[in-house]
Amino acid sequence: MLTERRIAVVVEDDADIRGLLEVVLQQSGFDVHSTDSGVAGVELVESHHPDLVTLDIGLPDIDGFETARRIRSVSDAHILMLTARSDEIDTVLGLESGADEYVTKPFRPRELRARVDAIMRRRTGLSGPAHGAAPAENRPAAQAQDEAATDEAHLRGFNGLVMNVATYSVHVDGEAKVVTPTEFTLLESLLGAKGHIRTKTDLVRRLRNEDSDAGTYVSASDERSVEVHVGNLRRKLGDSAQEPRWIETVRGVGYRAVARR
Amino acid sequence: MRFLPISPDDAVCTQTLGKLCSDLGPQCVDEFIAQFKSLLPRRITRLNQAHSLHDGAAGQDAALSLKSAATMAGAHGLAWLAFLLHDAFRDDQREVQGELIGRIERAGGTILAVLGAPGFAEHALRAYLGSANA
Repeated sequence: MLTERRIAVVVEDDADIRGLLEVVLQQSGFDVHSTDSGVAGVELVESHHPDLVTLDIGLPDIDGFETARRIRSVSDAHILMLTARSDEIDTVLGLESGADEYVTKPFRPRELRARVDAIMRRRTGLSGPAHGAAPAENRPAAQAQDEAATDEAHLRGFNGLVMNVATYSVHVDGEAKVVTPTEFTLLESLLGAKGHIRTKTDLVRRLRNEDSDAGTYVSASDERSVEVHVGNLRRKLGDSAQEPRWIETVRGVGYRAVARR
Repeated sequence: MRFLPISPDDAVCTQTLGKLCSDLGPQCVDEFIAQFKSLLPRRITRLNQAHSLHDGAAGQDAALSLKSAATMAGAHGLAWLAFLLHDAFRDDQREVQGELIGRIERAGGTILAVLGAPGFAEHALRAYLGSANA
């Protein structure tokens, strides 16, 4: 059976660490393009349309946060931020600038490979015509609407929000919204729960492509990451935590979809 | 603050490097070691520059870079010194910074000598597999 090659971009200024990342990703089946600069990293993303980007925070030109912001404006690639810092402020800044998750350096190659494999399984589950391409917002709205209408079985929607799990698109009151694969997964999980609460632990495991009762360790930092992703999602949809239209916070527990109106 | 010197026997953990070999293959680890060795002088230069320019942010970045790479190379003593140096830059302890950079320079020399031994990655892999099978 032929296996589709996947593409990764590595942005890392330490040449020895960059070499290790290249090998880990090549062994996971990626064609790897790498650079030591944030600006060049954005160019590589624009020219190669990767599935995955690993991004160091401390880069010699623009920092990893700004690089993530620029990458996010042109790509829905999964952004894995690598940092030697464990400060929560860095984690929050990274996620707010568009990164999907964090890996701390030094990393264990075997664990990184397992994490990358889980990411790719999740993205494969989300695969559709728009996946891996430019954000849905960049396609004509009429075309996106037509695609969304072709197969109603793939549609989830309420209160003016329509998500299509086949085309991996989200519309609010007919207007396309750009969300990352991570945010799409969270939204799909919450809408699919039909009003039941999804704990932050459930959502972390969903993002890892694990069963909610897998029993795997979920750290406070993992749960904090979910909070930031949900915050980003709300901002993009135009939702409000105080007067939610789609995502309601269940304080101290997690989130649920609000009732239909 | 006093620090014990790093002896050649403790300079590089063969188990760590052997596990890396087991994960990625000895050839890849040989290339990693070669790059780590060639970057060490530049990393130490960055530390010295940050110290002399009183640039705490640059010093913390340089110390973290050294700590990450040293840990992956199995040079845990060096990584520990880099960790302490990061905190010294963060806390603006100029005297401690100077002493730690001196320690790092000396430890770096020892580590380069150990890692420079021919076939060190293969040796580390055999040691790792031997202990894993024991």
